[in-house]
Amino acid sequence: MKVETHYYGMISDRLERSSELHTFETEGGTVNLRDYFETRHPELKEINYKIAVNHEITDILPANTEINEIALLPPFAGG
Amino acid sequence: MLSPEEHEIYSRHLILEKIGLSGQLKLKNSSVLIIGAGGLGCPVLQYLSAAGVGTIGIADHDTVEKTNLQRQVLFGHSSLGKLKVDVAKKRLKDLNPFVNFKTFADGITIGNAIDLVSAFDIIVDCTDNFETRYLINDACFIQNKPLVYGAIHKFEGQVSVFNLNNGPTYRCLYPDLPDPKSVSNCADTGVIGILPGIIGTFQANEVIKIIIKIGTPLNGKLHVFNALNNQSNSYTIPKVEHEIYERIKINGFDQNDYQFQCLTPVLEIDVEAFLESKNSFEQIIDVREYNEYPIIEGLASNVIPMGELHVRFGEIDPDKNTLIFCKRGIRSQMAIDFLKEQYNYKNLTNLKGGITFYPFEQEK
Repeated sequence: MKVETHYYGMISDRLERSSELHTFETEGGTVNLRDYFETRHPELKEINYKIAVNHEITDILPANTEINEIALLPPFAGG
Repeated sequence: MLSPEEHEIYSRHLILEKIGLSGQLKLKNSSVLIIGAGGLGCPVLQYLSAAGVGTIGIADHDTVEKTNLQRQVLFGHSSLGKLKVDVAKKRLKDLNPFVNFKTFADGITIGNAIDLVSAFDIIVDCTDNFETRYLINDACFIQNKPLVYGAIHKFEGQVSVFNLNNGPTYRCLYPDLPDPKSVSNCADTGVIGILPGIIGTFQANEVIKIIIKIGTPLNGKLHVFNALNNQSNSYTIPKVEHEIYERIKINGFDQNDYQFQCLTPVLEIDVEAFLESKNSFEQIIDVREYNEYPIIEGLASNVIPMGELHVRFGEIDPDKNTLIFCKRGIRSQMAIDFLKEQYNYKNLTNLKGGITFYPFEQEK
């Protein structure tokens, strides 16, 4: 299953892209999304962020889940 | 009751079924504290004043700088160098003389946070740094006050409502202050001037909805807006009780450390002590951007913005006793951390609190 992942704020700056397609197989069990993204983009280990799946905050992708969208949400400081 | 003149001013509210006289009276009887009179604070202050919120608090310790004028639309060239709270109050009093304005030129500090927050019904976070955002969040949680949050980054903005009706707090979303090495400063990232106008207007709208009890506030929702593609998304924030209680020291709040917690401790000196021992420093380095004010003639022996430090560090003599400063003492702390870690510098002292607390009149 291909899922569009949105990158916000400084994550988008660091990865130099605002979105990316990722392929997930959840038939075999759960997926730890933090591990998944930090393996592919090690620079994320240095950043504080939350992960949202289908607009709900979570680090774990449950088995057999239909995913429409993932977002990586760092905090913003500016005002 | 509303006076005949107030009836005229608020006539477009009064004819709205969801606001009407009862809603307008709720606005008049409410009090809102806006912390930060910058990019976000300007639209929040203008719309809440115009809407007839009865008491508005403005907390900000900054003065108006030329770099503010690109987005902080309450101010003009005649405001440069003046306290933001004073300029804002004068302009807003003209916009709506029926509002009672209270100004706090010390801004929010760990010493006044609890008292300040407790004196208002709703708190609006329009600040520009993480330390103050966590301080405000924790004070609001302790005082059980709803917090309307807004924050921006380049072309993107976040809005949310925390601590409303036992809802989640900012710490449920981001439990701890981020590593300062992982965050950028507003002065060196930049922001499109219109964006705080959009996000601040969202915040003002949330405040009005909470006061009048209409619509659905962003309670437990993080709303994210992208000005480049006009996409808006809302993300559900779960309430995480243990994140709140493990981190907010409800008893002994004034002992909490809201400075960036991941930096290596460095030798620090406050402004008062610095003024007494100024001559003992053989080099004084300003790590702010070139366009940042105030500039104090003759104070810095060199200006090396943080972004240039990795190529210009050689200009700092490692054998000299050196003071490093920035606006608030955070970037200078990061600079010292970098120089010690990467190039084994010693003899570096940070100006605690930054140049903000420097008594400028002494230099005149």
